[in-house]
Amino acid sequence: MKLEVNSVTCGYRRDAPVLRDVSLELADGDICCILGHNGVGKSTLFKTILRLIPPLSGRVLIDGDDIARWSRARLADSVAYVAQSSTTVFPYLVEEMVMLGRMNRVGLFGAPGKRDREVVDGLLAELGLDRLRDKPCTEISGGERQLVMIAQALAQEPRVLVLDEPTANLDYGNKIAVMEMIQRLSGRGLCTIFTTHDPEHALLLDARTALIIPGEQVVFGPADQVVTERNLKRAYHATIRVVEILDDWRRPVRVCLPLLNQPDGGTAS
Amino acid sequence: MLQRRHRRRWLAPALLFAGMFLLSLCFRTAQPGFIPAEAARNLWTALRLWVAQVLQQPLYLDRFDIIDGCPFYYETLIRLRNSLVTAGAGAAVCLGGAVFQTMFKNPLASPNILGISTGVNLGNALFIMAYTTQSLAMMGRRYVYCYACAAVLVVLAVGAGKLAGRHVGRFSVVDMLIVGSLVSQFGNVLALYYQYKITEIDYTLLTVYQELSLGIYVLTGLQDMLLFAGGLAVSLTPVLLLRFRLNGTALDDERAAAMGLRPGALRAVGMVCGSVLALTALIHCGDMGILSMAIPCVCRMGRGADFRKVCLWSACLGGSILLFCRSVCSMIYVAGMAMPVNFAISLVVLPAFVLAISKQRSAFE
Repeated sequence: MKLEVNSVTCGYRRDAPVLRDVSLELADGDICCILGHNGVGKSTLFKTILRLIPPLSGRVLIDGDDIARWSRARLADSVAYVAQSSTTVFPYLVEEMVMLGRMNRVGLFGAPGKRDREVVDGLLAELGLDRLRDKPCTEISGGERQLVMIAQALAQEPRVLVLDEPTANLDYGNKIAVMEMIQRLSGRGLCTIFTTHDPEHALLLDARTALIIPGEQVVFGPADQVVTERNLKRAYHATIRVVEILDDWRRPVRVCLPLLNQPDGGTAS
Repeated sequence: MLQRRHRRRWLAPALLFAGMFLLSLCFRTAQPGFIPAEAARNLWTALRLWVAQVLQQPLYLDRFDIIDGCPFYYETLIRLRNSLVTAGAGAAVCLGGAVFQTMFKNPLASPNILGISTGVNLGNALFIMAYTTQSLAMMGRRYVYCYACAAVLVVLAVGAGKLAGRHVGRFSVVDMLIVGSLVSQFGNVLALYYQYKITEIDYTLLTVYQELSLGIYVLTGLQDMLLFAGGLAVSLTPVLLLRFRLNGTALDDERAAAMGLRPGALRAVGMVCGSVLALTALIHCGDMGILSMAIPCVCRMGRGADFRKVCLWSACLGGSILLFCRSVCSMIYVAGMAMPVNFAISLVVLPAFVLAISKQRSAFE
């Protein structure tokens, strides 16, 4: 599978595009991390990839085929989406919520069958949600709910998984759990695209990174080349050091360290 | 194993519904009394006579003697037709409520927010105004008035709601609820005005209006029952066929679209079917108070929010509760009239509804 975003300009109005001329190319098993400050257009780019809004120019291709010609159901077979705050006021049980992800696999008038139940059972076991199966989604923690929404998206059996800020509002432990899960999914050959406000996540996952800097071309490349102190300064207007430490196996790991109240704006180093 | 567990889900609500239906046939009308043995014998006799008539057996020639030996025979048959309409109406109105709550992503929504019950009341008032003392003899025309008035109010509410939601560029639940309430109130004012005008023509007509709008008088003629069955069939079929897919309307529109659904089209189908379901029930069985709002909410609390379960349980529980309440109310006379059924519904349903709302409080907040 190959996902190509070819010179896409996206936005809601033709006279005021949010992002211009974005190009990305991803294959099976790739992890792509999209970085940028609030309101820069990360979600708009996602909506364009998901065809929720049409591109103002350029094309989004899957295996060389323009998705603009695809039906919504066909696109759902290939691309799944986990929104930033996917909540419902109704007390759907965890199992039911995940089962809704099979909507694209059952017919228009169909209902889930044996195979659908097997897929859902497998996902609940894989993501450690088995014990929550009969709990209402309104009564589980934020981290658990995020995992349920990811399980629901995975139930679509997509080839590309798009996650909009999957770690927003999660505690440290749950953030790590979601990161580990993205890594596992990549190992299984799933192409994952996610946005985050934490540049460190790109480094941790060694993701292909797209850094959106307002008024400039999107910087796209390997995390260690994109997440640099200079680029972060341009993107976030803050002083962030990128330092290297050693993990328990003495392997180098790069982490981001924000510095507060720098007298010279952090340019001295 | 999984298949068996799935199949068993149907059993409990279906048994409850069937049990309450049989029970409702055993109540006497117009005075207290519980006659299961007579009811069973009368139904058996009716079945035997019907078979004899179809097969042209000699037994049919003795029908008058046989019926004379069956006390409450005709009352049981009237009760049977009454129970059929009541069970269907209770199921339909609750199903309509379940559809609306799912579509509007709001556990307090009901078809009445689009002015359906107001439309029926207005239709009844206009019908009695038009035909005055002849109205009881021209019940067929009542359907035209009720359907037309409800349709006008629903179109007004939906149209104005869409217009009000234009500033956000998409369907807005809040705008639709606010505008729907306003249109509904406007219809209510008109209905009240015509009620007042009815009393000016003939005070006794007000009793006819009350009997129709409060559901004391249920029409069970062949034409009425065919119309009722037709309304239910037209609206129920798409809802049952789309029962899994309608869950998609409870999610964010973007999420639903990413799952391959067309939330706008689904919502339109749901709105039409939910409206027709509730409308058919209200026209034939009168006002049912908070039934359409409370029962889906209670079912969701007990059985989870999957629309497949909610629609099954809402239909069975709604039908059962309406049957029970109507049976009880038909035995209690207040001011020379059977007690309006929504009194009993409020007494039976309100405690469970309050509990359901308080248990789901975190969702509202």
